[in-house]
Amino acid sequence: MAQQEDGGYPRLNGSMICSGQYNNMIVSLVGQFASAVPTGNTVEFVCCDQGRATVILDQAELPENLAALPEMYYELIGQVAEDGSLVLFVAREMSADMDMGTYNQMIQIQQNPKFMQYFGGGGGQMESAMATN
Amino acid sequence: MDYGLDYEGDMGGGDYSGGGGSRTPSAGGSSQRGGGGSASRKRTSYDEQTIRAVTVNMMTKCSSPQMGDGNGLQLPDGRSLYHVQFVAAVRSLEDNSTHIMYHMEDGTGGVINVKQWLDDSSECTGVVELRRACSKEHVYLKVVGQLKDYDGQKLVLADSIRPLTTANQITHHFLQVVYQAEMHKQGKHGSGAFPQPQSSSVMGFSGTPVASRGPLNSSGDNGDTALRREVLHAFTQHDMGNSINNVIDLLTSKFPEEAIRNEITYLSNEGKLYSTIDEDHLGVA
Repeated sequence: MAQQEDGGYPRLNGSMICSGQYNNMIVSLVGQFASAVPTGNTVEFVCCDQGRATVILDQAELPENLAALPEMYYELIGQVAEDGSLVLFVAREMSADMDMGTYNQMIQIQQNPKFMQYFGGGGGQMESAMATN
Repeated sequence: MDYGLDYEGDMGGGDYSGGGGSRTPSAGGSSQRGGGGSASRKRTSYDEQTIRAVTVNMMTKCSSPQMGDGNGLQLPDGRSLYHVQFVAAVRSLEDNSTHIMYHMEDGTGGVINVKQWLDDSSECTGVVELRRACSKEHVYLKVVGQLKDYDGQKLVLADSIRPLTTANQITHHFLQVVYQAEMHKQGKHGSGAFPQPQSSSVMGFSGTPVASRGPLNSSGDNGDTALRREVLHAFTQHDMGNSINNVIDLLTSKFPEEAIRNEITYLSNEGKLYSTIDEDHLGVA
């Protein structure tokens, strides 16, 4: 797999992360936590397309004010494991009014090879994305 | 005769960036140039006054032009980059006594350095609090500033750094990047297809005459170029232009009505169409 550029990570939704195309890559997921309380060291995350992803909390903790603001949306930066789960590195707070539908459409546009010149590769996924698009 | 007018770019205006590059028309001339002879003061070019929505990837990959001033950076599609706006997250920052240096990323690739000068003597409480809100890692900020290139290293001198009011600004910004780029691309492809009134040979046009361009690009990315030609042609049917409804009736078999109306609105806003006998009748400028 191609080396990911520093600062470059593809923005994914639930179906993309489960596809297997992005295994072992650093990616971004935007959505909401399904629960403020982890189950062991994992927690469910509802992505922008309403798909669910498992987030592993080995490297980072849940945001501090998650329980106080359950409606808050977050951007998770982490590495995709072989089973499609995400090993969390960083959780960035977004806002509670973020429109997931529009965001989901936007990341489809980012994945379009026609607009690669603006969004870079975001990593090595564009070659495989081009093959499937 | 070549009056040296540059029709590239959206506005089709000349490049007024002063110095030795200015070439005044021989007669009458443009009053915009300050009346006969060379301009008395240097005019800022349109490019230098334009704020472009970009991504970090675009900024880090843009190139210096082969000629011109050293700070004139250029995108692959030919657009110049002077003032930029972007939305990115703070990866890290350095708080110095005279300035704050942000290292920012937006996922498109690369990390951009953003420098914000500090002036404690003139800053009010509100400005200090705003800066404090921005000076955190992993927070998304909207940055407006000037893009500079120092020995290949890109740097943004920030004019404004603000936290986002809503995360929808991230979505909006990325869509705006695509929108601006595609509009620029349409403008480039469309400018050569605009039929010039009264004559098929084009005076002062830097490209080849319209008649010799061959068939319309049917393999282009969108049908708007063909639509634009048809709309403009339809409005040249009569001396006093044509009514909007007539044009729609003429073209509705080939294009959707909404697309025709949008194109008419766009051309009106760009000054290509103007009202003649009433608001419903337009002519080609």
